[in-house]
Amino acid sequence: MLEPIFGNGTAEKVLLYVVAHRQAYARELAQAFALPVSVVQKQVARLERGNVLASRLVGRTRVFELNPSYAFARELRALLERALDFVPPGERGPYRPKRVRPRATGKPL
Amino acid sequence: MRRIRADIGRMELAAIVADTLRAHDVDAVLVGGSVVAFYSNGKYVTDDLDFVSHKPLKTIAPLMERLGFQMNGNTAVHPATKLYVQFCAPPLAIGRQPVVSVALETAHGTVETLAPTDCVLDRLMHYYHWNDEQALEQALLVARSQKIDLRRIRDVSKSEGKLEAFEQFRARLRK
Repeated sequence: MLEPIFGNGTAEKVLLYVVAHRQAYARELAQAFALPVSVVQKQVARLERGNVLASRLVGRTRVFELNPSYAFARELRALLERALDFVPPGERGPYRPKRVRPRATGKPL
Repeated sequence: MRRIRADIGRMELAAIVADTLRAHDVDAVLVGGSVVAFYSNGKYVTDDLDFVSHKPLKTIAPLMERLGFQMNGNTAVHPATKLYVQFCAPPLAIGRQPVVSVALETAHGTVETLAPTDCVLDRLMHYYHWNDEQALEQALLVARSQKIDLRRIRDVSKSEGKLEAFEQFRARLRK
């Protein structure tokens, strides 16, 4: 969908995922899309250099989110949110909400 | 050619870099903490000189290397000084707004940079978006040392949906 704009499919997936979940880390993205971590790391690094993504360390994990200071952040978010509506049903899995409420330690799944 | 030495100051180094880049038609606007340091008359200290340029790093790197810098990604380090230079991705913007730089005439040369009001806004954006208290302190340092346009800061803050945070800044400024 947005690959012609972003230049490659990984960048599109990374940005759609980050907007859908507000934040993400490289290994999480790699697992979500069955991509090599190095491929994801290359894209998030490129997007971070361009100020599109911003990152911070949470423990030992580098977490990425859309950079609110990016001049076109609002427009980019709107474009990505619009694009999420067009993701085919069979490909929506990675973008569906994840459980974020607490789960007691040791409680069986 | 001016020599980069251990005791070189931030603005002298900024002027050397700016002059060199300008001579090769490379635009470069000084932003970030070193502008805070300048406008706060040294009340804030940083070793980092951030420039925004529209030219690609592959154009900038050879010019920096000619000055004796070693490039590592977007960062340029020099063996003679602890000060280092980073090149940030364009556009030059404060929040959603494009920014027009000002030419700062220093004792060492001309440096394109942010006007004091834009410098305050730049820091406030970090406070607004990341809740970065250090950025708020830097904004206050500049606002207390320079003549700034509070109305414009309020308008931009409002357009960012951060009017409440602006009022906190204004309240701190009055103290």
